[in-house]
Amino acid sequence: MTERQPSAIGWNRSFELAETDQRFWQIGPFQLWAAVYPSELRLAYARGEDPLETTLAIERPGQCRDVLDEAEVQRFGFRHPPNSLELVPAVADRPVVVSPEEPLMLPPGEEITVFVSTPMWVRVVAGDAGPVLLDVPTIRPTDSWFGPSTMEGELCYASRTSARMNLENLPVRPHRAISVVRVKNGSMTDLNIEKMKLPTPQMSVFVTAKGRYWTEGVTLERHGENEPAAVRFDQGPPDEAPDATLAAAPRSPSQRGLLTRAFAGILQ
Amino acid sequence: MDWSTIAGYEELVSTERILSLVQAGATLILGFVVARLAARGIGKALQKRVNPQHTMLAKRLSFYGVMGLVLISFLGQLGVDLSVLLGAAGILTIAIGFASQTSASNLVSGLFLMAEQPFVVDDWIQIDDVVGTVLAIDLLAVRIRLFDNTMVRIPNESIIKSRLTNLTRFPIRRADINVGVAYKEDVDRVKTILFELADRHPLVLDDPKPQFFFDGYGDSALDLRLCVWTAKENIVDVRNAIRLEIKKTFDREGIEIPFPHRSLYTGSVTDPFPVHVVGSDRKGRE
Repeated sequence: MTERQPSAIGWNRSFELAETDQRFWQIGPFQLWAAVYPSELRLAYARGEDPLETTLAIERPGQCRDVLDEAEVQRFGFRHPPNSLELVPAVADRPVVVSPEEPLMLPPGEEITVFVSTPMWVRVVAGDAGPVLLDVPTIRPTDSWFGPSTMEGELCYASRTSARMNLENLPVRPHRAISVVRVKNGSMTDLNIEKMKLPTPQMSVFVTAKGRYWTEGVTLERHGENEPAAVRFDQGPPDEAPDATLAAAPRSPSQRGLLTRAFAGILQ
Repeated sequence: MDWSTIAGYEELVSTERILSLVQAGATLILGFVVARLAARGIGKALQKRVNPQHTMLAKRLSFYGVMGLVLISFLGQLGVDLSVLLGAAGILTIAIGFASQTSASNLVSGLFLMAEQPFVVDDWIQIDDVVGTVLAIDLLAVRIRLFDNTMVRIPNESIIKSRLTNLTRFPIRRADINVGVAYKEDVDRVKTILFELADRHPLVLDDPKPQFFFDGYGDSALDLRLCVWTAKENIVDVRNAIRLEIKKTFDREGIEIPFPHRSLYTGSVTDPFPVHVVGSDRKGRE
């Protein structure tokens, strides 16, 4: 596994923070404040109302806006507060359920590629490879359930944006990562794609020189009507972003290679 | 007094007798230690394989099993004729059986509960009007912690014979929220508002989708029901939050949640009686 690289343009890099400094970042709808006091570091965060906000703002010390009243504040005690903070992107901590713009039928033997964007989490790391102080989503996705019945399945997040066949239809947003998903129907019957479960915790985050975030490509292949789908992860960034560098490792790499139910939805 | 004249005295204090007593005592002590170690070893071996109730049962069975053998050996070394004991035990068993019917029934019921596993420790269960968290499933009874932090002990026999509801058996649950709106309200508009506020709440599952039911024409209001799904650990929070949000949204949108009321008519084709609220001042009384 290659080491992750800080981004020169994106928000995932280290920021210096001297005592009594205050800094502010806006990553899409997500707003983050950091302030250093003697023996204390305070982090505050809030989320705007528009989940599709595209603003990326990094304000320097002395030029920061005030902390919002509704922001969630967390205080950390240090003998010597860190003199820098690193912001690291992370994938969702649960799988994300995505749907195509309209339900789609895939005949036996056929394959399609769709593009999906999922919200990222922000990790705030103290100093150089210090403890992770914060690990919060840029937007709080809605919970969802994916499984054959209400008794059996997995708690996931629901993606508010649809899976698109065309990459141009996906706008660039600093708080979302794009995944290239190849769907293959290796079975003898049509595959009705109404919902797909993307194994997000097992995916890495890559960033391009232009500050666009990607995950590695993933292939979901269905072999039998009631069988779990085979999930295969590409190595490295997707072909659509060959120059992207690794920004964050997967949350759960050890679960890769397992078969998973990826296409069945809830039976009403 | 000359102790040697007491019959059996020589046999009692003979070296062999003392040795056999010491040996029996050592067997008992050593056997107790072995029984404890065996129980602990079995507990550790099963801890990661089976649930805590089965582990506890296996530990107790192994402890009492080993101690039973140790006791038999202890009595044998003391020279006790076990056949006599077996005869007495048979009679004693019948007597104890009659006396301990309830405990035996609870014990057997407990074994069935452990095998069937209708609930496990930490589940929320409801038995009749008792609702709480399972603290422990013992051999004779189940201990439940109520939400006001009191403890209830329910005999296993009662549980086997009662209707039991496991509120946390499955990972997700549905919260049914009943709401009544005035007859004058537009039901389609209310339905849209209810779905929107369910959609806004992140803990309400996107799938299974929320459902709306028009339950009927109540005496004072239209009986509507919003059903939303959520993870089982969020059921209380979601139920409270949705009800609160319904109240706030209805107030903002001017949707009336009526009090129970009755309309009085003088006859079948007359207007209803007009009702005026009279103030407490002199002018109002006049």
